[in-house]
Amino acid sequence: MRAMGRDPAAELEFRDFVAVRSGALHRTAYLLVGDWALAEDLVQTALVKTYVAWRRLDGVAAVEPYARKVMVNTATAWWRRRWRGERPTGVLPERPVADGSDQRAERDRVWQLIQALPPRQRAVVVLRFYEDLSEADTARLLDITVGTVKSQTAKAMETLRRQLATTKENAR
Amino acid sequence: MIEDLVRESLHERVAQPPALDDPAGRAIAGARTLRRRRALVAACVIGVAAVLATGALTGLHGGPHMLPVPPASAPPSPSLAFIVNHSALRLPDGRSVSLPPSETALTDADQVREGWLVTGATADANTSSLWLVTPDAVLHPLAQGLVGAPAVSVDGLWLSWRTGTQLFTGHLIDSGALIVDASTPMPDKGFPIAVTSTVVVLGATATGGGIDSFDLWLPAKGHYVPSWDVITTVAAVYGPLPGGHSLLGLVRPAQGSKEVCLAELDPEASLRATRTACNLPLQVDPAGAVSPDGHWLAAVGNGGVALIDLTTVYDRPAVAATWGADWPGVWVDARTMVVPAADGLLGFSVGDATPQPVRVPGLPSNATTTPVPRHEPV
Repeated sequence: MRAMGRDPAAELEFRDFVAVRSGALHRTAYLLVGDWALAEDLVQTALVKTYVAWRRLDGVAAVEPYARKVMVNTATAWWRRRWRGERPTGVLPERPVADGSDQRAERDRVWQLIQALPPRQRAVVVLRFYEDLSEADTARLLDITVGTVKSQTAKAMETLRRQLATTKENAR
Repeated sequence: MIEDLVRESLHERVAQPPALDDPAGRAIAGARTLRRRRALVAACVIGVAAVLATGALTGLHGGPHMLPVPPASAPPSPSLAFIVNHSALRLPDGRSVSLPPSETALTDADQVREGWLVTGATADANTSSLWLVTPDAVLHPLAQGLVGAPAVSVDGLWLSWRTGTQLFTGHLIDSGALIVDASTPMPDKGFPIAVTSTVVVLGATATGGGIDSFDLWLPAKGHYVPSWDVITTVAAVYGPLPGGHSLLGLVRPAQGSKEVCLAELDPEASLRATRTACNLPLQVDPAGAVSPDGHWLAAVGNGGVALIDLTTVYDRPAVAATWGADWPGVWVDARTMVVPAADGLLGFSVGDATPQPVRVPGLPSNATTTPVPRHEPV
């Protein structure tokens, strides 16, 4: 039977951690799932598991990577469960751009394309280009090799580059 | 460059995140629920007549109104063991056993005939270690690299555990050694949540918020073949009933239905419900404990712990009482349960919903104290 009880010191440490880092986790979660409400669920799931593991984690420095790892893995699991069988479309439909800004429109298109990436590629993209993690840290967090990080990144970039070009063509 | 565009796009999307609503408080509450779910999936406590005979929890068996706080000089309790402050096992005779410093916490314990099975959390966040504390208070290592705590059969004779990609069943022998009876590759998700002499019930979680899918391994039929999509209407498994031939759990009348019914489940027929009782105010939570005589179920209900008479519920679905606690604890006899609560241990009795404080001699009142379930042959 697992221990069930209150630990005021751990609660205090945990609350401190959440106060400082939950915003960052929330942003990363959004980039992984593309919806703020889902992102909140994802953060909560990660925080629950982190709190359960709190005493096992070797110091505060280990906490955030653990929470992040739970979040990424959970997001991937959600993706599998909720969108199993679906495939990213070859070309996303063009959306009207409200402000007429080309740069803004391009960033919007990129975001649409990122959302259509397979979950593992999307996680690699978020960790490498939003979190600015090194290839080695990304590999550690995702439990994959550095070589896989490189290949997934390359595939994702190639997909984005190609589809961005296609949507530009279609817009003409 | 596409990389720069990706960076700009990602940062722009999260420039103004909405505020979170007390994420720490909700996570702490959620963690307690998760612990409860993990804690009691196999906790059908059995055979505690000796508790009464030896005066286990001082005064408890005299009824809820006869629960005196023992004097400071009271002798150590000779019956139940407790996990104290997530770090030590307090044996019934008052001795304390701690895991080596390599283990960061003592997370689970189960009393069996050979002593106490103890699970420790290792520095690696994903694995646990399994130990046996024999009655002479000596600690024996049994296994490393477990995924969570082992499932222990209701009679304490059978164990199932997972390490890496292997699933095992086994048993203890008198010398305290753990003997592997069968093993199978288990490359996919899942871990054992209940075990009988013939079946291992597996659970898995897709969201991290609780066990939401189930599967079975019948060692006599060979290696485990994942078939998580076969059992579609089981919502929760409380654990094996005394005797070990049936399980108790919750089922949905139809796949996807929000309603749940209490059910006896046949572990050798894909958890088919053999008896059901519907319209009970039960929550989908596997925290449930059956009294040692199989008469009473204490499970998470709406507004407290629902006490259900298993001898009548299938004919007349009803809750006998609702106890004011978040989750069920450990039965110390056929009518009395000890529940760990925020302010210490509480005792509840059938026929009286008023909880009484329970003190364990020799422990400070502010210690986090969790009673250890007993598994004994019928």
